[in-house]
Amino acid sequence: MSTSPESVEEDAHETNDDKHLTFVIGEGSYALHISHVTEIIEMQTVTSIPNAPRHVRGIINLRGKVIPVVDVRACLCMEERPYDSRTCIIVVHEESPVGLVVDTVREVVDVPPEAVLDAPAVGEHSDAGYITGIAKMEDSTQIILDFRKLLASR
Amino acid sequence: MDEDDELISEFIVEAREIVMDVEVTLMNLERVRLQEGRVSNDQLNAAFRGFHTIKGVAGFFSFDRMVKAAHQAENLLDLLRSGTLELMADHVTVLCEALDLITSAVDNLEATREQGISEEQVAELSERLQKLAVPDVAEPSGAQPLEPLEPLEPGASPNPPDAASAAAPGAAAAPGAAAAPGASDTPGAADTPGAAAAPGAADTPGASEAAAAPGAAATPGAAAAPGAAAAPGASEAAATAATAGAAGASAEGPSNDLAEEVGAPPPAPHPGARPEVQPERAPPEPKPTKAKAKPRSNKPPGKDREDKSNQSIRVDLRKLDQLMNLVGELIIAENVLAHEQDETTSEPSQQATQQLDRVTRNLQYLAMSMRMVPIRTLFRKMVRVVRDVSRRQGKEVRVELQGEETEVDKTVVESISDPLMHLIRNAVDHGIEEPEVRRAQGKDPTGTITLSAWHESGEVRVTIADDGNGLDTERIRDKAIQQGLVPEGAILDTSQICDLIFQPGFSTAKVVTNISGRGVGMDVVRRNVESVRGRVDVASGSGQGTAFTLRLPLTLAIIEGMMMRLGQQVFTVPLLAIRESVSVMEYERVPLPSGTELVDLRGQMVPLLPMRELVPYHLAQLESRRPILVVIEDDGKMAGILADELIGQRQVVVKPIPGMLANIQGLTGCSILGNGEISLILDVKFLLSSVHAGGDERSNAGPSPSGVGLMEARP
Repeated sequence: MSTSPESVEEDAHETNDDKHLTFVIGEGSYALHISHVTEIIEMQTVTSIPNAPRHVRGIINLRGKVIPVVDVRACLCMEERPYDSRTCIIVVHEESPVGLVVDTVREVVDVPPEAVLDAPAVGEHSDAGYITGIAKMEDSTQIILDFRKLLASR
Repeated sequence: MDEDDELISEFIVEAREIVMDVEVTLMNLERVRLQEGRVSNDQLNAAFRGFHTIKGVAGFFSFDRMVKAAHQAENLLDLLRSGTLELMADHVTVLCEALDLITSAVDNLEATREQGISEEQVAELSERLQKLAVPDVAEPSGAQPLEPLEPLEPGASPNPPDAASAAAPGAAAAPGAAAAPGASDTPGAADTPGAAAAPGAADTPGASEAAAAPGAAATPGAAAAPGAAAAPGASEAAATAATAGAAGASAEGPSNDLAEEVGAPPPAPHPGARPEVQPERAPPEPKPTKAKAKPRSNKPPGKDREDKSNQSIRVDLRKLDQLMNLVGELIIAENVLAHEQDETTSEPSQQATQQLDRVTRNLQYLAMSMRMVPIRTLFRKMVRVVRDVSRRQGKEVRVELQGEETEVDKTVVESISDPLMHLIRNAVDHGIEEPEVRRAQGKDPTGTITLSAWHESGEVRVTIADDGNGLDTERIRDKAIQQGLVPEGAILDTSQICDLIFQPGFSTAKVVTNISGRGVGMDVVRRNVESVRGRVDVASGSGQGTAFTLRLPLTLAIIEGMMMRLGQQVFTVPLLAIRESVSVMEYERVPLPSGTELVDLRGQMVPLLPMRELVPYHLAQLESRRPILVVIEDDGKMAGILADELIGQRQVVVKPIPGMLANIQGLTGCSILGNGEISLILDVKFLLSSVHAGGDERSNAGPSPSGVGLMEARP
């Protein structure tokens, strides 16, 4: 993942506070706070689990550890699409690791707090509160997600 | 602060261990006293040291209440070991309560870092400890009349002369014994305080008579023994009493010890105390005991244990779990490597892989064996349970332990602790009869519960057997019909009837006691045991007692499994659950209107596990035109799984299904295959009960709602 040159010069404390990993799902660009992310891996064979909730794709073998994999598209109630070579799994860690399937991963960017606007409560899933804000950047707009709330919303 | 925290954690572990040791010691003390009529001073000392250590460390952290509780217990033990007091059942009880209070403080410590117990609790305990700590002289009529109420005392029998001679025949030979019956009849004789008279016996030969008398009056079994033992040291009667062997002391022992022992506490000259006395089947027989004790007379008790502790260290269980996980991952990595080998692989590389394979297997074995603990601690905990329950019920029960050294996985031990406790309580409550009833039936009034453990065919078996009245099959049947668990007029064989006691809500107890009878329990017992892939069998003969056998896996971490491919996924079925596998033609499948399919197995129609229950819809397509029918069976229920191919039989490391999916039913876990793929391990018992739910007359007692859920959860 590429980091912008400015962020390297800033001191570690500040950078960790602001760094976000951006990824794409459909037309939208999303961001996750970097502190939750452990690693990014390419798509791999997922073992499906019978009777699992629809958004949980199954489990994968991450170097000998079995972790569940969740499809963010399904979480966001978006139409499913076949996985391709750009499909990635973002491994996030809360109490235990979970893999998030996204269309593709972009980069790590600094999102200064002042650039984050409150997300207005619109749409049918707004009440779940997994969108913590909208980051208005120079050349893009990122939807900042709270993955814990996203997983809990299902 | 952190350092303190660590120290407290260490203290918690240590205190727990000490409490358990002391409890075992107290139980041993009591048993030896009942069976052999003597009190081992070494064991009293061990118990004393235990409380003392707790007191010391608790004091270091200024847990004042724990200190106080331990201190009071220590005081009582001090009086006991100095011979000022004779050990009685009440002492053991209140000392156990002190342990309980300390345990609850330790539990609180672990949760909150506060000792938690209240000042009142400690005060109450102290009061009772202090009350008992007063030598008989203070309440000559207080302690003694209580005795006959104690059902566990040999001396409890209303006939003192009998009790005295039965408990310690040796005492009968001692000059003092002659006075014993008379003494207990007339409270006046007890005016001579036992505490003062007993040491006195050592000083003056003449006093031995007096010493034996009040002693015998207080607790004939235990008291008469030290009395007699004191006598030889001081009087001409040495030879007589020693031969009588009241306390298992060899003839040599007392006379050698004479010089130091004069004026010292009478129970001291017992070097012959056997450190670990195995429960004796026969009623106490001091003479053979003496013979056994002789050759070991100079061996300090607990020596074996010391030797062991020198060679072992304490390891945090989490570290062992971690080690096991890492070894599991190593095996997987090694499997992948082995999988990659082919004819193009270089010779050294192949050899290295083989070597790696050997090393990892050994490592796995070692890591597994480190998790194995002797079942001893669990068994010994049960001794206390039996004591508490039987005393409350006025029953006389002795516990025999067999195969204490049998090693079982730590997790398995933990998971069977509650079921075992429940079965033990039931055995005392329902199994063993009242002493009068037993006597009337010509049985030994003291019931026996035998706890045994052994390894058999790759499993651990644990049996809890009582010699009580057995299961009343008639009543169980009637009750089950009454409760609607079986249809009226149903014909059930004995084993089916016995099986009914595991049904939820079933109870035949006429009276609900605070121990059992509410009908919750046996189903929980079965569930708990099954949760570790074990099972419970029951065998019972009317009037001959009941035996429960727990069959448990050696370890939870590894199973012997058969791997099969269904479509694109690989599943593992525990080998023990597979009855057979045959090749079938597609057209032999018979669909029922309910959606269930049957398959013809040599004329027997077997239901098929619906494939959509195992793999998601879009994958639920067999590739083979000639699939393999794998017949699984458990508990008399059968079902078939259609698989594309059998991959083979292998030992697999079981991994849990991760958190967010952990409550999915039908799977017991998963394992990682050599090629890195994940194989799901099927929960055969659950799948069978769900495919049979409703269709089987035995499962209509309560098909689990979750089972129905699995069948119908999918839209």
